[in-house]
Formats: sequence, C-alpha cells, structure tokens
Amino acid sequence: MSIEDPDMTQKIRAREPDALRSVVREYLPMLLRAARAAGLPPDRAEDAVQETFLTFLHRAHEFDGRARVRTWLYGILLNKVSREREGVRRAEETDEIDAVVEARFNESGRWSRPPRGPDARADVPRVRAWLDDCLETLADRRRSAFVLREVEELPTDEICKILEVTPNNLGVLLFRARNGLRECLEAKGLRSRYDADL
Amino acid sequence: MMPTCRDVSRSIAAGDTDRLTPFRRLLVGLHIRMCGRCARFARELRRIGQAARTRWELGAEDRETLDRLERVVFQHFPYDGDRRDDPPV
Repeated sequence: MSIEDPDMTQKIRAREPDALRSVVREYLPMLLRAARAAGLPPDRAEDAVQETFLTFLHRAHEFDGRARVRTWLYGILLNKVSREREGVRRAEETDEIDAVVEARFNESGRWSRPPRGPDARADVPRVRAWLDDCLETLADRRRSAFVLREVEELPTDEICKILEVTPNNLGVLLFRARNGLRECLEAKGLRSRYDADL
Repeated sequence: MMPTCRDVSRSIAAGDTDRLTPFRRLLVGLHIRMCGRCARFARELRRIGQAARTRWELGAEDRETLDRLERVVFQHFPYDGDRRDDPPV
C-alpha cells in the first residue's frame, strides 16, 4: 500500500505504529536533504527533521488526507527552518533583482546584456562554495521555492500548498530566486558549467 | 504577437510555461529555438538546478545519520493502542 493511499490516511489518523514507521522511513531522507538545502547547518538540519517527525507523531490524528503526507511534512519542516533562520534571513520585500533583470533588456524587449557564454571550468570546491554563498543571498521564501522545485522536484500545486501561495506568487518567487542565483553566480565568474561535479 | 526575449526569459525563470495557452506556449518554444541568447539563459537555469540537486544529493556517508535519526524518532512512537485521546507527551 502506498503511503498516500486513503486507507493509509485512516491508519495514520489512528496512529498505527506500522503506518507511522512507514512514513518516517519513506520521507526522512528527503526531509533531511530539504533542511540542509534550506540553509540549516548539518546539526540543526538533523534537529529540525527530528522535531518535524515528533510534531507529525503528535499531530497525526489531525491528518485529514486532503493534502499528501509529504506536503504536510514539508510544511512543518519549513516552518521550523523559517523560525530557526529568523536571525539570518533576508527581508523578502526587497526586489532589487527585478531592476537588475530589467536592465538586461532594451526598450523593444530584446537582450541588451545577455547572459554570458561558457567560461573555463571552475574547480569543484569553489563552485560548491559559490552556490552556497549565492543561496544565502536569497530571501527565505525564494530559497524555499527554489529548493522545493529544483532540489525536491515537487509539482507546482504541491509547492503552492506547502508555501501557502498562489501559482502566480510561486512564479514570482521562482523568477526572483533563479535570476538572483544566476546573477550572483555570473558575478562570481561562473558563467557556465554549473553542472560541474559538485 | 511574438513574445520578446524579456517575456520568454520571464516565463522560463518563473517556470510558468505549462500555464500558458497552447498557442502562447508554441510561440515561446519557437522563440527559444530561434534565439541563442534565450536558449543560453534557459540552459544556464537548468544547470543551476542540476548543480543544486547534486549539491544536496544524499550519499553513502549520510546512511549513518539517517539510521540514527530513524532510531531517535522511533523511540517516540506510540505504543499499541495509543490513540488521539492520549497523544504522546
């Protein structure tokens, strides 16, 4: 039986140990990956994942099956990450990236400053450090949207439920996240070969 | 009306091409095939995504952490018969 089957919903609500164990085994790896990618250091990421599952165990009887278990878990986790990063996160209101992107086009909407072409391959540790640095420049919501889409590869409707945004809002978050990252990486000199073996 | 590079790059970055009308999606696709700069932009965003997936890919070295976390979480499991009226503390 799949974890997302309706029968499973009843078992989760009833807090049947086998059903709860299946959920933990299935989703623990992806939550750990998401917590790290969302910007928590390794030890705090582990704590956040552990706390997420404890919250899940405590509230399993509230699970109504309207969303996937996975959606519910990601939502709990990202709330914890958000609280954890309150001291370091960047304000979302700033939208300088919109002006930066706009400045790349002329009046007729064609590229006036197009993305630069291939560059020499940077060494792997440096690329990895650049990516980490650039992700830290993103506001938390943009980073979460990027992680859920690119790292976790979730569909639009699920990301919208997790972040409680409309598809249009998600588009804006992703637009700013991807352009912010691309501009940051280009400024650091990485113009291509992002797919180096990180 | 043919979409401009600004329109196309916006759709690529927002990831909303699946929500465009079929005709608009066709125009965007044609534009990317004809415009090297937009194609390069799309390729760069794909590579950034690939880099991020590789960056946080779990490996064999994470097995121990996962096993430990699983054990810790399982220690908090409800005993048989535990129900919503008696949530774990």
